[in-house]
Amino acid sequence: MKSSIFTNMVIALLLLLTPIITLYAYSNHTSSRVLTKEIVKAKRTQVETFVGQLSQMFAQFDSYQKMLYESTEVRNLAYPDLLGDDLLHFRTLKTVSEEINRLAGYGGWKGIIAVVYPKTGMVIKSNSSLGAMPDSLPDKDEFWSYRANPKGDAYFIETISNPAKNAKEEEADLTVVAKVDEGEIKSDLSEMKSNGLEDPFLYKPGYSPIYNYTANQALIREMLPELNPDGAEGSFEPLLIRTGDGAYQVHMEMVKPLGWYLVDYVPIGTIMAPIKRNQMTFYAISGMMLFMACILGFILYRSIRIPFRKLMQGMNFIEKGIYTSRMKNPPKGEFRYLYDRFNSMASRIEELIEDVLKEQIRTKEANVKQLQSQINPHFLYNTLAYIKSMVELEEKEAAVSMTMNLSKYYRYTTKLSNSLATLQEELELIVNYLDIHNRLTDDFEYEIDIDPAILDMRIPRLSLQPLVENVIVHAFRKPVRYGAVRIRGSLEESGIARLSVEDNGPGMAPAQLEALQAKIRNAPSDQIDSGLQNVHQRLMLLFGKGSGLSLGLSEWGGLCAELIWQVQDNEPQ
Amino acid sequence: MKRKKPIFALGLLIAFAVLISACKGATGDDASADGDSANVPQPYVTLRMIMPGDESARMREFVDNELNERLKKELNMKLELTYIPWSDYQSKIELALATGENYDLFWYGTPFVSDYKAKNYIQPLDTLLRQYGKDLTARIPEDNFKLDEIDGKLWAIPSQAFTSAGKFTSVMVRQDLLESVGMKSIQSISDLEAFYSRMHAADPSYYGYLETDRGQDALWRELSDQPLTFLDENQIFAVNENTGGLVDYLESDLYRKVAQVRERWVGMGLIDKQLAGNLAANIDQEDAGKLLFRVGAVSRAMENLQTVQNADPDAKLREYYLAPDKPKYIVAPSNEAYMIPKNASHPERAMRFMNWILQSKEHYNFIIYGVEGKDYRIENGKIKLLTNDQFMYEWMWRNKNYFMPTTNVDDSVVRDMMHNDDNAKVSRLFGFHFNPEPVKNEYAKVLAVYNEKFVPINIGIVSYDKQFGQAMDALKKAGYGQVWDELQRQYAAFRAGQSLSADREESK
Repeated sequence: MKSSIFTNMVIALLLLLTPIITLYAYSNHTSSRVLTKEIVKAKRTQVETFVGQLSQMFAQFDSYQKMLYESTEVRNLAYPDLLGDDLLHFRTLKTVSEEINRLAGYGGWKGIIAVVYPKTGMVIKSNSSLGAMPDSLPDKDEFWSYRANPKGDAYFIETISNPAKNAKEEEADLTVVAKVDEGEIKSDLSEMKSNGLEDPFLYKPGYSPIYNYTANQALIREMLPELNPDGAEGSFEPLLIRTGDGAYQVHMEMVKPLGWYLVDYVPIGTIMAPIKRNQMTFYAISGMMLFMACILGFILYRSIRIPFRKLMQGMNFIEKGIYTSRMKNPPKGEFRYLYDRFNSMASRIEELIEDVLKEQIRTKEANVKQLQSQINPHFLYNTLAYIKSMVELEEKEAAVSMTMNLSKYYRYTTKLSNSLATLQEELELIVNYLDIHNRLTDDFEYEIDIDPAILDMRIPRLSLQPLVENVIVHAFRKPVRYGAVRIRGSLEESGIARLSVEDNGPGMAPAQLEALQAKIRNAPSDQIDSGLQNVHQRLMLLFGKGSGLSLGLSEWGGLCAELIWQVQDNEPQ
Repeated sequence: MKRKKPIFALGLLIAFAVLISACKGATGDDASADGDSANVPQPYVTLRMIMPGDESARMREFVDNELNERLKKELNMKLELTYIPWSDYQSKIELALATGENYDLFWYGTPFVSDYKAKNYIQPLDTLLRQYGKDLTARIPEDNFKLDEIDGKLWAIPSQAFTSAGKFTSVMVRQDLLESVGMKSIQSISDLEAFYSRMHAADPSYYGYLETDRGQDALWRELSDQPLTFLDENQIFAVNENTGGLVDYLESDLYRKVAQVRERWVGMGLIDKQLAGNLAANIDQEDAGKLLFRVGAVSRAMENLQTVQNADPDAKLREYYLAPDKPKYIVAPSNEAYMIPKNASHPERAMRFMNWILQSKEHYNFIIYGVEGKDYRIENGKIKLLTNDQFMYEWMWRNKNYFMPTTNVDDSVVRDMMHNDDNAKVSRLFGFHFNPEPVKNEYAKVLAVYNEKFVPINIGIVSYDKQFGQAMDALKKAGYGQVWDELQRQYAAFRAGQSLSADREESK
């Protein structure tokens, strides 16, 4: 019982499922790792690209600034005496002005390039808008520095002077200025944002960050204390910053000319979304597989295990001899068929066993009755008296014949070994029996007419004799005339064999006949008290419901008792 | 098996019901669409249009909601705007046109029309205009359309229909400063000089005049007894509006007079020779509120007001013509041109849309100023803006029939503009384009010499008396004669064609 089909199947299912899920989990883990790495790398490359763009912009302004610084025209304008002529001054100024405009027009950068001549107060610049130039220049020459004017407009500025300016008091002849407004950086950041960055901003410790126009400033401020540019050079893992709103992956990269860092952060949820999706798929599929396995197990349990167990219980009952056991609530499919077969098998076994038992009991009863009836003292006395008188009369032959008949009769009736006998054997007994009575009374004659086809058929032993005995005992008791007995046997086309015993006695009134017939038919099987009932029961047990004893009136007006049985196909002919 | 059948039947029933209701729904929609489509074109389309500049937040919202809601109802279309920043406008729009992206409508300046026509970027609009543009032809003067006619076909809609007479021949003055030195208006060159002198005496931080590459023709009104109009942007040739003859301006006495005025201005400091040549300086000083006057452009007093008021909240601007009684001439009535690309998907709807804008004052205000009561209010016949966000550019569609000034513009400025065309005449040059192709080598050399030798004379930093002879020699050596001859030849041909058509009209 421990390794039933069901258990085996469930184990097989689990064995199948385990490597699949394990392999799947492994592949999922690997792909998640690769994906994470790629995402981080892609983000980093993106940030680096934008940093490159920004750096390039500032580097370009550097080179423009150098070009102007080294230009002869630009220098000459610082010394008005050199350009004594108005025309020369005009031309030089125009050249420089055009040059500055050209440089500032390249590349789409919206920075401002200007040459300032502090001594003459002249300013040549690429942008004519108010506030294009700060009110005051840095105190000394420097690379890009971040400043704010009193109005609050911030900008990056870079100056180079001739002669070099190293202190506030020194006054240079000319200063070349490159300036990029914070607004431009913000536009650039906003553009980066629309081109793929999440929420970029520029940051340098100690300064307020430069946000893009739609930045989530509160969130960025929350992150700032965590941003540590030390060690941010080169390749480094992205920072992971946790804020009130959740965790963020932060990428930062320095814009070299500025010394500021371009920072971009991505909510872990967003960046890890594909991985999370991947994992969700994994869990969902695994769960589904397990669930399906459970469903499969349950279906197996319902449709195989339970019916199987019931069937085995049924078998056990049968084995223990409880033949009344039947399968109830048959399931669908093959098991219904199996249940039906089992039920019919059980009922057949029950029926057969019952029949056999009853047959045995009846046979025994028949024998006992026969013995009782035939050890009838009158019968024996009469017979013996007949033999004695025959011997006295020296009717040797009659005495011998009577003795032979009597001996055959007793031998047959006392032989109990077999409960069935052929019709032939039964008929021989009847002949013996009739001969005996004929010799004793000599008041009747008999006639036997049997279809040879049924002579070899087997019928319950001593089933014919009670009928004949009935005729002798009841029909010829008060003989008014010479009696006649006719025994006829026939086999019908439909396979029904009939064996009738007719007499020409007084017969019975129809109501009486009816009552007798009913008594024979309906007697409970355990209360058999007449030979006729016994015969009827045994025939029924042996040949089925349609068989039995039937009573009617003979054509001579006497009684006609008829044995009817269904000839079975397997009956040996 | 028995239980499955009813489920299947039920499913079938539901599917059938859904199908029936779907069919019903579809037919229902059709019916309602047919119901109110008396004038609405079919089918519903998306019109893709390019605009210069940056889209304001309110414009985005306005287009998505109020505007497209109306356009769906009235033109059965949706407007989709693509904004291209000013700095990239030309390159990007030409890229889009060259690659055949299917935009339906775009704006650019009139000078680009012939170029784009030649490059086969745009389609002729005559049939469309006739069919769908009756409000355009009704609200835009016929002459304006002639600007965009090439080879007898119309290639663009001259969207702006406002005054243009005497454009660039007026002076725009800081009216508040003028009044502060006790003057009322400018009528002559001496008024300008007096304005500068008095102002300079009161506050030397103000600059007189810096826009030295233009404005010679502003002075002509006083200095010339004949009405002349410049033929080209380079200010080399002119036409006499009285006689119709070409004028060799540089060699004329008028040029000498103009140069001498400029020389005088440099001398008195009205032109700062230190700033001449410093390109950013003139706009810079104007923006800083430090400029006393510059060349006017008909509506510049209105357009530049906000900028100058940023520097000086009390600033007022006004445009004056020297010798105001002399007539003004119309050379180019509209510089704004709306074109439909050759590959447009819905040219018919583009024309209908343009027509819709000028269909009524209500449409016009709606698309330029937004929703009345929400984005603007009408106060005493002026537009009071309730938002600073830009909608459709007002100057693109400015139309004499519908024009309403905004509240910050002074009535006198509005009056000036509305009466600007009062004594205007169409210039003899109207419709003439010099094609330098046959003399392009000479023309290029002439321009180079002109910039080198004549521009300093124009500004006044070089004396005409001393330098003119030498400059003129150089110019002639560069091929001035050939250019002049070619110009005369082309102009004569143009005049001949004109008089022919005029004769025809007369004979009718």
